Amino acid sequence: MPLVDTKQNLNLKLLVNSRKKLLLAILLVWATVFMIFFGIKKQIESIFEINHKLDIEKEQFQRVTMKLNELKQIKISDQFKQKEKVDEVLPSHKPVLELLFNIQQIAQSSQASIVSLFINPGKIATESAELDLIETQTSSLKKDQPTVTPRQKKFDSLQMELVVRGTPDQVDSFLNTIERITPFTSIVELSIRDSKSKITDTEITRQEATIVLNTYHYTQVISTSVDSALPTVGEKELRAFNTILDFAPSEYKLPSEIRNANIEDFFNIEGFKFN
Amino acid sequence: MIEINFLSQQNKKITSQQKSDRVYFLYAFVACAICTTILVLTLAVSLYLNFRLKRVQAQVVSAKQQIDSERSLEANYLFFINKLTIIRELFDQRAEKQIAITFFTDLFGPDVKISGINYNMETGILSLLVTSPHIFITEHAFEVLEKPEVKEQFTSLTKTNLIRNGEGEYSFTLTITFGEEFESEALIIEEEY
Repeated sequence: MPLVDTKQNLNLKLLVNSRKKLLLAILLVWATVFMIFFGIKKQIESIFEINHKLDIEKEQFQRVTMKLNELKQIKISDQFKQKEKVDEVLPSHKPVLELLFNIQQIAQSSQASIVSLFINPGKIATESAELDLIETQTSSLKKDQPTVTPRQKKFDSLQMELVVRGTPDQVDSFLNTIERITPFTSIVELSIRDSKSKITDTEITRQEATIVLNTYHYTQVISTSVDSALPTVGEKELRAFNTILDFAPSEYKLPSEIRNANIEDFFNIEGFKFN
Repeated sequence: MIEINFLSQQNKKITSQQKSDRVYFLYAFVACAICTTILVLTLAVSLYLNFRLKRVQAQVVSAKQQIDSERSLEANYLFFINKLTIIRELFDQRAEKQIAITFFTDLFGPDVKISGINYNMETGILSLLVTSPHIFITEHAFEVLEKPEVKEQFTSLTKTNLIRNGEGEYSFTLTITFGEEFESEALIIEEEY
């Protein structure tokens, strides 16, 4: 056994001495293969992955930068500066008081008289939805556009029935102006009746118009993500905007105080007194 | 004494082997060197890309923070645009009614009155109550409605409820349906506002 051992050692030494370069070459080949599979391949994969992430991030950066610039532009936008006009035309609450005030205003200007008026406003909405902007960054949301909950109705209407009486010119003037007041109002039903009467020798024609009006208010809640693009004002919207600027200006002001003109305390609140 | 080298062939073989081994070694070394260089380069590229990624990510975070600080402005703007879009839609729906009324008022002439309107904006159905002082004008109105150009412009036109009232006036209901399937050539809505 020791003789065999010695012989094997001798052969190995001989091999190492005589074919050292070949052994080193084999070692280098193994090292190269190892490097290719466990170093270069992984690094290249990682480079592609990082590059892909970088592209996504760059795209996102472009989007957010663009949005930031758009937000800066909005601040100086002429249309946005007149946002109040749009809010006046399509308020975020049931515009009962505004509607009543503005109808009275056009009745005065047209000199037609309102004979009867029927309105059933139901619950009066608050403006709580106005700033209900929900920021969502989930990937399931569309990134390029602000989203709108589909089940939600964009707007709602408030119906009013009224009977207007006057000369044909007065009723005409009333009818022509009613669709150009704020909040946005449309005639959905109209019935006109003529009546003639004689005062001394002059025949006077009177008209009575029964009108059903729909007045609209905004009810939609919007959700958006930080990097979603801002919508732009289209050509048609711009035309609509220019049209509403010509709407009859309203002199309605929100009531800010309670006056004590013999007002009773209907709710009998203990300790409450009108100032 | 003659020296005989019994291993001369063996030496030659070994020398030849060592020569080819050196060539193999050279190739392996070159390959290994190339791979090492590539590895170093890929590492450098990877580090550089990582650095850029982090920088861009930081810029994105900063920009998002700025956008977040303008949240109320964004909300107001979105409401502004949404309201404007709804107003435009309402104008479009209302314009159909207004254009149709103007069209038929011009068509019938001054003797015929449109004394009643019923318009459903959601379904796009407009009913007009057309009143004329006597039967001849009513007949004329019917004739005018039968004109091919009227039928071309309003494909969904129906006349119903012909009534004579106590004052001898004749009235009938004219129903027009708007919508995609009843596209009218007369409805160039953009001109309305």
